[in-house]
Amino acid sequence: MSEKKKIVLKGITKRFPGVTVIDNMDLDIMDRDFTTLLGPSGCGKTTTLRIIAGLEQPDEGEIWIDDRLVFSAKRGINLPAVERKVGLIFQSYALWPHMTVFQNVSFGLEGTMSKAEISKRVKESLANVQMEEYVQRYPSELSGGQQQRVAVARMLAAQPEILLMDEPLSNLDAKLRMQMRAELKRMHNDMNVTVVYVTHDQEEALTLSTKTAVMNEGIIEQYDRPEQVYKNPATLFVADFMGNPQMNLLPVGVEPKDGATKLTFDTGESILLNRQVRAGRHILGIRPEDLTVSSQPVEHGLKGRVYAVLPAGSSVIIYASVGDTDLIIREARETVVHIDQDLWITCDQDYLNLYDQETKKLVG
Amino acid sequence: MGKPEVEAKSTVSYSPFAIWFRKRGKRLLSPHFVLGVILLVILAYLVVAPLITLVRTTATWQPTDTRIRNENVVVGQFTTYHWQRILGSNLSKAALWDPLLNTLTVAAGTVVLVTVIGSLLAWLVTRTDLPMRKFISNLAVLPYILPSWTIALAWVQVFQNSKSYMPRGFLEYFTGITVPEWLVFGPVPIIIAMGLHYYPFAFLLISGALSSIDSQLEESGEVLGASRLKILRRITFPIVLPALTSAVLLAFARSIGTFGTPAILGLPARYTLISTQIYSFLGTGRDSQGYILAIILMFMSFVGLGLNYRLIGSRKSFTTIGGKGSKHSPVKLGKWKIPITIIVLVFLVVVAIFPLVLIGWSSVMLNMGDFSLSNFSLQYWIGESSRAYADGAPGVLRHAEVLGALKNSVSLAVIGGILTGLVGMAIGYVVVKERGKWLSQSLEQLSFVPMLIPSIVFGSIYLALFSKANWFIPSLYGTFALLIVVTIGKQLPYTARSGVSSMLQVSGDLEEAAIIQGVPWGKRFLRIMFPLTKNGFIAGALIVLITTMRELSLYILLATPANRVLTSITYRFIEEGNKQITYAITILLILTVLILTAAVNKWQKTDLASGIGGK
Repeated sequence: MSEKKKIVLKGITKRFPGVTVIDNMDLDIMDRDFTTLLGPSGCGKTTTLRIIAGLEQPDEGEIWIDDRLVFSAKRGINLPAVERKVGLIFQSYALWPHMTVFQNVSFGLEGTMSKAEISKRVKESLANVQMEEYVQRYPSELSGGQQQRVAVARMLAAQPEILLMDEPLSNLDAKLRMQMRAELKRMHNDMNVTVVYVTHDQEEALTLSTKTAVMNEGIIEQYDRPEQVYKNPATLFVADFMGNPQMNLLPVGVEPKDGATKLTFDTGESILLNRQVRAGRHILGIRPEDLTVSSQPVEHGLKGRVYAVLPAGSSVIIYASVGDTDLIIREARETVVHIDQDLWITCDQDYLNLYDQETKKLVG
Repeated sequence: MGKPEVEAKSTVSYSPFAIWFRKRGKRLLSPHFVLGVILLVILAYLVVAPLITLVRTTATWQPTDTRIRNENVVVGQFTTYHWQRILGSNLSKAALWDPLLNTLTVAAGTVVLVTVIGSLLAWLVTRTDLPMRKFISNLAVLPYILPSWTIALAWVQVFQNSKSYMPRGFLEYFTGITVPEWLVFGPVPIIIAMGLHYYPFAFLLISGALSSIDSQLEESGEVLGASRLKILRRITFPIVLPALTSAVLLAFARSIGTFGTPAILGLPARYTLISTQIYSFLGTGRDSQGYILAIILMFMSFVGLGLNYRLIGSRKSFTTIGGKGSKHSPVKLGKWKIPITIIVLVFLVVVAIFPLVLIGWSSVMLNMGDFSLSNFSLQYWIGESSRAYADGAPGVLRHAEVLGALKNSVSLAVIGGILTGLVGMAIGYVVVKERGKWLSQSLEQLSFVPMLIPSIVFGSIYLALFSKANWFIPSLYGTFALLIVVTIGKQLPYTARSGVSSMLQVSGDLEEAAIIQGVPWGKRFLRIMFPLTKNGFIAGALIVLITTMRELSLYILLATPANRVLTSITYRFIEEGNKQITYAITILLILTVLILTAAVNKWQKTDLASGIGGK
């Protein structure tokens, strides 16, 4: 969105007894970006967020916010959260159960401004999230969605420039989650803020973010725009992690042929790829929706047999056996196929990714 | 834009020490670290110093040893004399082996009685359709609130008889039955009196565990076709086991260290336990030998703890499994319902109410052994001083010393309860915040140590430690402050445990949410951590308050004429043989405890079980 760097992590390493949670991580987060940290549980995404917030101290590395050094392990610099101008929403919301909604929002402001100003600020923040009627309620008297809103209001009241969110929607039901996503996106658009958002839900990452960092075992596997992460996963891990149903991954032999590339499957069939890729044995990754089926033989089509058909409303998901592997295909909902029927499967070359078997990285 | 260039602003050039300090110092200056170190110093003073004194005293010559002949006594010099005396001399049998055997006998009997009564009552109250369950469980806890020697006093008052050259007891007076001597004094009455006093431990712990088991665990056994007995044996029992062994351990540790009951029911029959033997050593200036016995007692508690740990080990967490609290379908007692209800009620009336009534009644008897109405008198309550009664002591409500002691006891219990509760919360906070680090572990383990030291020994060491000024602490001998310090030291294990468990219940997010907003530590503690753990604090403080009101052994050596407490004055009257005065003071004490407890309960709803460490 912007060319200005808001948060810079340099060589961040965090160890807990016996494990390295984050391993020499570099990450630049641009001003006004909505960055998601995405990954399975235990990948270090929450720790990264807590390190940015100043709740956790890395063992090595530096953090810069707005070109200001806020943390340096070497020099022993560690500014508290307030001076980093960050706000944080916890997965549990962390509303103080013994305080009313008003007190929850006002508590952090006490001492920084006059009573009248606090009152005004609290009311504004609560009005922002449509919770102004509930000032006298206690958190236990609110629904999950309402608690969520209060947590947002509490964070916004301090007027932070960076909003950190730790799986804030994971405790809400599906319908409410969708609605809150829209509101978060609107909020990000309306306010001059940078958002760092932790989630294990790839759909959330795809729908919300302007940039996604996919994490695995303490390192960032890919950091890019979400549509790019989806279309060209940089590593096998990302390819496998992103997408539902998951990407098809099958071994292929790769050799150059007449300026193009010939891919040979284990079943003996082969297709031609109209770009050049280094020769060798690779893993081919292709998304279910980029495969097409035909009940008639097609040139360069892989022959398969239908194993199961799963209608999914907006589309139909077909499991087909090709040799001794299964392919998952997503087709338009009008497609009519039957179990044990023979199929010919073709793929869209533009959406085909090849990964090195050893390095597990994208090669073409 | 490249590399940020603002570095210069924060760069001055750092000396290696400055860098080290800024890296490590942040942690060293973190509030919970500083608080933890302060607490560690306090614990060193309250726990470690007494332990060292205890061990050192057993291995050095003491000033009182100079009267020993045939020995080259140099006060303060190392000697094995005391250990030899206790472990390998002609004194050993009377000083160690007999009391040790007696103590183990009594403890074993008490543990069995406590477990049987406690688990039966717990099962009836939590798992059956017994009527009046709420009432019964309230009544069942009453014996714990009474001073431990109440039942002992009542026991004597029921069974004493003319054959043992005593005034006639309740039983002989009304039925003419004279029970044999062994039923009046000795191991059997001690076991019964202690069992009836300590069973509420087992009752509270086990009923807590029983009602927190997720019923699905048992139902799935039922669905698989297991018999009720098998479910009880293979599912329920193993899950309740941690609570059960905790109860056994508590009862064991308490019964080997208690002093009042064995003194009242044992000494007249020359039946000594280690606790009464320690008292006799300390009372005759042979501290070293008393302390050796104390070390032996502590070793026994320690072994008990180790066994408990081995037995439960990592399964401890089982107790908390499944907080769903789904409803159990109660066991139908059927035709046994009415007989069992009657038995339970009669038992509780005999155990919890009758001793009180009898002691109250006995306090208004002008002459002992005469239960008739014509013998009724308020002499021992409001009578003027008269040579004919109680060696000239006036009624307790006119007795300046008694009233002073009452006031002292109440202030001690209230101040001690609050302070111990606060220290316990602070320990809980640091233990939880520094979890996994040495500071957390040493605080948690040190705060548990006083549990192992018998009260009477604890009091005696404090007497030795604080009677002269040392370091920056002035001499506390004979002061009220000393009583408070010893209360905090001894009762700390209870409040520290409830402190840790209530701090654990507060999610770390709640404090971090305030850290993020830059709320300073003091304000966070006062406005967030403290309000959220207030209930644990009150439960802990209440336990200390009750325990302090009726604690005898801890204060018996420390209370000076200027600073008596109700319990120490009671024991003086017991020793003087002024029964009715003793009874009157006991009633006064019980009423005070009940009023204080009710007041706290009215002000704040609390759960006694959580204070004992049931949760």
